[in-house]
Amino acid sequence: MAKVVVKYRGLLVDFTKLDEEVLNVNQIKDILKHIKLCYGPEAEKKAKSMLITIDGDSMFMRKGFKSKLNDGEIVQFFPICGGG
Amino acid sequence: MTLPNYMKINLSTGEIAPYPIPEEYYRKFLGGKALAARLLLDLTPAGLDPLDPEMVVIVNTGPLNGTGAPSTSRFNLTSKNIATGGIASSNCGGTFGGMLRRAGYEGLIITGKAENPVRIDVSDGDISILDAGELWGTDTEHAQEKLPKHAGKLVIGPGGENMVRFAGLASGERMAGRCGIGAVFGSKNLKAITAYGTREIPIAKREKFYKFVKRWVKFLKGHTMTGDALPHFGSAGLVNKANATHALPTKNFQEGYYAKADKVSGETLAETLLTRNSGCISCPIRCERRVMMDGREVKGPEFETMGFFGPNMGAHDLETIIRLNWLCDILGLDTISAASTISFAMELEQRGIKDFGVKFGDVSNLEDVLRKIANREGIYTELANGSKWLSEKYGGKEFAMHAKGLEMASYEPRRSVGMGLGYATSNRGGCHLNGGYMALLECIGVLSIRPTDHRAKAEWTVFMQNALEAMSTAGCCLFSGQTFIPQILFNLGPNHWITRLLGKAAVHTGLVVRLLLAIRPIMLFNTLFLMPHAEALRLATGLPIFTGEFLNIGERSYNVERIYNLREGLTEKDDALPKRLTDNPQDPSDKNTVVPMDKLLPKYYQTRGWNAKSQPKERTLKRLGMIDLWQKW
Ligand code: SF4
Repeated sequence: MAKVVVKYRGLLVDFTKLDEEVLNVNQIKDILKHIKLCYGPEAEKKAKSMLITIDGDSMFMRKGFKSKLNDGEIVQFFPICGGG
Repeated sequence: MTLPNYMKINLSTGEIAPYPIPEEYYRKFLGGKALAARLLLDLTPAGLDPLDPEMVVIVNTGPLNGTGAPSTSRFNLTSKNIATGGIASSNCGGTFGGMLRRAGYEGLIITGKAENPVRIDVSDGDISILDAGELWGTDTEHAQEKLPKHAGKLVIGPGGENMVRFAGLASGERMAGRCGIGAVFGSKNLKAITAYGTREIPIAKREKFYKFVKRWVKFLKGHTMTGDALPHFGSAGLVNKANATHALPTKNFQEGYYAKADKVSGETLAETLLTRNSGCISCPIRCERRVMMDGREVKGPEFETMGFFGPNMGAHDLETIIRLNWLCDILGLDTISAASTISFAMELEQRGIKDFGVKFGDVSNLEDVLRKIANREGIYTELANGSKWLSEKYGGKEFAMHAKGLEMASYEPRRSVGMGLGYATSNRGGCHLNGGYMALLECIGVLSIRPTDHRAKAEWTVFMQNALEAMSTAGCCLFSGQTFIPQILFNLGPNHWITRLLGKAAVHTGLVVRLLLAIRPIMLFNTLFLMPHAEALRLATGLPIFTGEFLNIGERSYNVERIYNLREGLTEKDDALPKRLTDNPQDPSDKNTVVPMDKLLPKYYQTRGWNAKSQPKERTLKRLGMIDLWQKW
């Protein structure tokens, strides 16, 4: 198990009611399980549709939902944005 | 059909006269940058210096400006760019475009040079050249305070007066930043234009038009991009996205990832200094950020500004970025070119080549530096010439981050190779929007078309460039076009296997896009989902504009600007990127993290119907109804 900081951004905070928490997890999918359990399936759906980063890198630079996490890493959930 | 009403104003002689627009020009080029480029070809001889009194500046609108259709406040300025030697076009929101039309004019063609500082006033049909002695020397904020409250305004600041090569113009708090047209205004002693009018803007099928506008607004509000993402986070929300895919230029594009990027992200801005969102007139998207600065509310920085005054300088001070953004606006400087030029100077210092008193990681003295650039004080007059000029004097061409002389925007193209192709081929130089904005489809949006894969990127770039060009010509904000990405993908999200599969498969769609480009003559339909702008144009102008013809207008615009560049001596060699991007992998362990221009460019020319010298072929111009311009270079 890795001790990671999880940060919720954008509209996900409406579900979690907190910006940040520390979790003991192995992979990203464990965080999603936690979100479903604590904040409900709608929150999990929202979280899944967001950009998920590990220390600023897209989780797809590792293994997506199966990315293995290490102690001290920061996982963030960002809303999709646009612009130019 | 009502033809657009243009006036020619000669500041040397004081002569003001109508300039009739041929019907053929209107049908083919409509307005905005396309029509302006066509007129610039007619009105200026080849090789004319941008600062020569004879140089022409065209300030014009598109047929949707001021109609109340969504996001249609964008007007255009066209001239010649000092930094590139090619076409200059700059786009701006605010009330000015609509006011100019309400005053009775679709465009102003300005030439000559006034003896003393002047401003042009357009009031309900009357045009006068007025003394602007007391405005000269003021910044864009104070100058606008001194102008009539009720009028739409367009002003230069000290940057334009001192002919800084990247001087822009302000209209309210919006900027026409790119391409240095502020310097051309300055060279003419032209400080400002004001416009006010109460006339009705002609709309061919008024009732149907407003019915359609209602549907269009509803559609924009219901789409994640324009109804949620942009209103909530603006473009500033892209900092973390670009960083996550290593597409965030860091330390003058030496890297694409900045560990503290979150400190200068749209999310952090929203949690700290943001007061509210706002927007241009008639825009339901309202992407503008309002933020607090020293106890007052000002316009917040866009993504490019946050990236360039932040990570690209190795810095992460959000409050300083807000202040520098505001300062650039009041000095009348383009934030992208100003910041990128300073970043280049920082690398010159890092390498021990030349010390301008700027260093990576230290932005504490940049307010002073910007003021000195705008006023061309001391050695800073060299920074006022931009990064291309500096690299020619001091060396470092391989890391001067411009294309054709215009500094690139804040997307690292080694993680978005289509964007790299766009920067290189864009007629006005290193511009993401004129370049087709492939970053949206490659690395920062919901879809990710394999960012380092060159396949299908040339075809998509051509398609995107044409589409964005057409929107601009109509007078529309390019953000309103982001609804072409199907809503279903946002519902699924970027992590869903279907979205990811589509991203992977899209590199095999080159032929499909070429087919799409080929069948334009039979695309005799309009739909809200693809290009709603076409239907709005059809109803506003009464011209038979369907999706196919709409894309044709965009392609004509791209070709006419290219012909202008060719005539001015630019060649295929100018469709290039600095070596840092083409020869040095961003990730040394992954040789694919370069922009493979050798693979992208030939395909691009082929898709465009240009020869290897980047010249439009005879049959291309025939197809577009532009054969009169064949070999006019
Ligand atoms: S989307 Fe933003 S920039 Fe575009 S018209 Fe609306 S407020 Fe202006």
